Amino acid sequence: MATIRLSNIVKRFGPLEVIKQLNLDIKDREFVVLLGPSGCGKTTTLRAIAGLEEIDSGEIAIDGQEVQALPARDRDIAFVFQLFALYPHLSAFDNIAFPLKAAGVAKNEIAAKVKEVASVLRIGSIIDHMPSAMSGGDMQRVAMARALVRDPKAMLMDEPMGSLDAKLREELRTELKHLHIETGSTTVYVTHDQVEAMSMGDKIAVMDLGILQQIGKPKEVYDNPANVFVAQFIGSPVMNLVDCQCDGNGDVTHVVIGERHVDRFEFSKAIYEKLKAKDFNQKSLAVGIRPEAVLVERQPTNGYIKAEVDDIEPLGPYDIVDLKVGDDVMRASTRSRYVEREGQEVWIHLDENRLHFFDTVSGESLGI
Amino acid sequence: MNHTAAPINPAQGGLSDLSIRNLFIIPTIVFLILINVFPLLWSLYLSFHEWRANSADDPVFVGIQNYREVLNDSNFWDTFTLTAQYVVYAVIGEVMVGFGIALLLNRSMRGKGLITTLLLLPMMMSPAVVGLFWKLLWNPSWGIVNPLLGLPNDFAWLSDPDRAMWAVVITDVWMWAPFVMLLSLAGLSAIPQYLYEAAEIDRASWWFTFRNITLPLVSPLLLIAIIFRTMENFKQFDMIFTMTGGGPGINTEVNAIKLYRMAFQQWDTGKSCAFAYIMLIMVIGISNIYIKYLNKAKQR
Amino acid sequence: MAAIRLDSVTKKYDGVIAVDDLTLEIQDQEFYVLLGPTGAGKTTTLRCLSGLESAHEGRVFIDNKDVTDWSPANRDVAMVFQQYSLYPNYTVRENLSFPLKSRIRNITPDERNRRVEYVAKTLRIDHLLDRATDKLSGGEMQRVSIGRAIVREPQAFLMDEPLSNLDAKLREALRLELKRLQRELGATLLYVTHDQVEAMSMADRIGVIRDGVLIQSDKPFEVYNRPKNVFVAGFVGTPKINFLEGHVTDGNLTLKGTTDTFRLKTEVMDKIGNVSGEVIVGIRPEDVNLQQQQDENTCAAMIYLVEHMGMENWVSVRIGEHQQIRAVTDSAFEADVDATIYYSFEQEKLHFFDQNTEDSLVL
Repeated sequence: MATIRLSNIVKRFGPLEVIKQLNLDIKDREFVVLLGPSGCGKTTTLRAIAGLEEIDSGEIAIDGQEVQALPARDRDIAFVFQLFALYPHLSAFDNIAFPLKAAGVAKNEIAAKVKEVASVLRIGSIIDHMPSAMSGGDMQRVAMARALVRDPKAMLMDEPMGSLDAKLREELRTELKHLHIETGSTTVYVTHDQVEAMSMGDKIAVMDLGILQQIGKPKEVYDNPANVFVAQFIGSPVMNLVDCQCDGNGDVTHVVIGERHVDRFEFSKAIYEKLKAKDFNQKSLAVGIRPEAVLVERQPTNGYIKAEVDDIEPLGPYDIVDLKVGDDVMRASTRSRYVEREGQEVWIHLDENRLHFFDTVSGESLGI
Repeated sequence: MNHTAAPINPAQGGLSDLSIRNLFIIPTIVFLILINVFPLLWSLYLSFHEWRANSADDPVFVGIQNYREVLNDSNFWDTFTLTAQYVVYAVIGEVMVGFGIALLLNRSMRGKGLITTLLLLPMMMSPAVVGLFWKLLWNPSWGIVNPLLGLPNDFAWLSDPDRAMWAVVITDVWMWAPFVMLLSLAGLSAIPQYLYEAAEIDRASWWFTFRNITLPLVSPLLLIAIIFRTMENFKQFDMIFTMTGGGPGINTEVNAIKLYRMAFQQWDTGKSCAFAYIMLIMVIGISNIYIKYLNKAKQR
Repeated sequence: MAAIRLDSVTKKYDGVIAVDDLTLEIQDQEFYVLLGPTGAGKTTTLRCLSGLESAHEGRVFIDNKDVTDWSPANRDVAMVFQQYSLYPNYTVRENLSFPLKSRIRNITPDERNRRVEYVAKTLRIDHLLDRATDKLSGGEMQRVSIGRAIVREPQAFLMDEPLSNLDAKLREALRLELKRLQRELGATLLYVTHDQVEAMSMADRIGVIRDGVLIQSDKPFEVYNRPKNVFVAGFVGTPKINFLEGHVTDGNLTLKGTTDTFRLKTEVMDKIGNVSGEVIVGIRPEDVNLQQQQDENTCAAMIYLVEHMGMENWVSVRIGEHQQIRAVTDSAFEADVDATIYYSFEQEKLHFFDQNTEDSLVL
């Protein structure tokens, strides 16, 4: 297994720059998820690492050795494709054996290795099936087996679960992550699904418009998003983002939202001081708050402001409630059935420790 | 479970779906019966009779005598062997040349459409015209073949008993390799690019990839091309007829030419019908073997 | 808008039963979601309703009229498909006005324009009206498809996985919009999906269907908290409910393949009629408690995997030889793989199912 280092990668399709000066360091045995919306350059980045796509400038080093000039077959990495790319005319066994046969490994050794990797991935029972007779989950496992069988330097995966249904994804995710813990292979995993990214990544690299927006552990990225894009891309339901004005008033901080200037949340004065320290611009400030950090009470409560329930989405374990505050709508997640009906009046507050402030012009977080 | 094609709504008035359908189909069926089914049955009837199409006599029923005569005639077996040789050489040649060109063309490159169209031209010509043209080209004294190959101007092709067959085969390959190329191209371009990427990731060499990915995946279409060409070549007539007339002697007298001579030069209509039916059964037999292989290939 | 009723509808394809004696009533102005896996018969049900398929047995009623033998055109229901099925060479406006141009309808051009513009505004695509449809994004295309359904002012809407081709964020947004729209229009809406989140969040009622059989038809809360059988319990909810085989004797639950035993409360035992013997136990991950210390009514397990989901963590633990239980914890929870942890259940939230029939044992 190996480290992967990308320095100053640039990739253009015609006049369009799809990767802009990308730098990325992946440690040995690390599981890094490239996360972003479609067209953000994540797949191109992955394909560039694999050698399926040539880069226009920059360096790619695998295990310290520069490989950007080498063809894919000389880079010794494995790649799991979105549509699995199983050879349709070959059985599961022959698919898994393919890279070994191509390398001229002896027949009995091939059989032994395939058997071993098949048992790890629990596909022994379908080893003679053709891809057309396999379920999506089986195809995914066979594709994984084919990648693992020859002990590559790194595993690259391009939305490997994109075509599977939700339940199966959930199951395979756990399996895959556990497999990674066991085999310890350096893995780069591309997805647009933030749940996959959060649950599997040792680190998440969030990309947008060909630019790396933020890289960090899932919890860091979730708790301290670097900008509005990351804040709203990660987390479901989406983080609330409301234009606001802040002022300090002796012992407290006021955060005022809406046009009417009547809806004001009260926090400790520490917030205002931090804002002041960041030299904030009063006119272009937005407060971000995750739905689970919006506190909802059914009775008038001191320091809480009034809101009207606009919509309730029951999800089972909890409900997502849309709350109208003046002209703004805030989403909160509440205990199931805590809020009873649409049109109901409730009182809300924001968890002071989980406030985020963003500059609405640059989109950057103020880091508070 | 997602059915996208919705049945046409029954219209509010006018014709029902069923009558519209019949309206379209019935003329086709009548036409088919007139020009296809009737001659087929009539010739089957004739093959059991002694009859000459240019005489005024009525057909005389002779049972299977026509068939027995054809099958016992050693000339018939010679012709059949000759035809088989011709079919095998021509089909092998067409596949090698056609598939080879397809491999070269199967990449994105400038002018690919134009090149493909140009390469398809021979196939679009009338075989009789091709035969006449090549007859000129093969001519030892003023044809272009000998100068191009640096051969003396008395090096005979079509009039040489041994070389005539080769000339015919080469002409046929020139004309029909594009057909194999067309089908091969369709087959090749249907192989998804990601399989080649997967193979490259799996560190397979070009030759390994060709043997294990390209060939097996293109084989169903290649087999279809081979079936078509085998059947066509088996009943090849016009090109050879215009080029050599079956000669020299009977060195390029394939089944169809022999049949022609029997039917329209010797006017042995009954016997030639029997001959034609024997050929038909053979073609069906051969194509069945191929189709069996094709189904096997498709199952994968 | 109108109420819809399917009465013992059966549909076969080549002798294979796709919909089996299905009875379903959708009230006027109701948002009804038919939820089931691929091949469950939900699309077929929808197509029987629209008239695109004719049922082999049973009757279909729309607005209390028996429409079983009517053509789709006469049934006056609008469909929205997973594929956008727009006319690619036309502008958005032309696509929207297309259903109004039919001879049967007899709508004046003025009225047509008025309706098209109203619908476009409602769906927030009024700025796109003169754009060609092939220049639209997926979300915009699906809005136009929905618009084309609305503009006709039909008796009911039938939607076949209309959001499944869109990405997650857009789906979330359109989910909300669709629900708002349905309320505003007071529409009767039958919505087919395999996505339980869509079903839970939008439906007034959910019908869970499998193998052509309607298993449970209930409000989302009921479906989630009182599933009728193992299938429904497993199909609804993320992360998926844990199923464990167990044995109940004298009010003690012992999990199969382990020695883990829990004393069940009397209320719990009463709820399931003091059953004893082999059962399947279902427990949702949010109702599994994990703690570092052992106390009474907890059992030991080994950490298999910790997944950080942001607002919470999903923790899989291993019990016995190779059984797994997933628990939802708060996001501060940390543990190493293979560390020992103690688990217990919110007993009120336990589901019990018969081991053979897989039906709920709750009385």
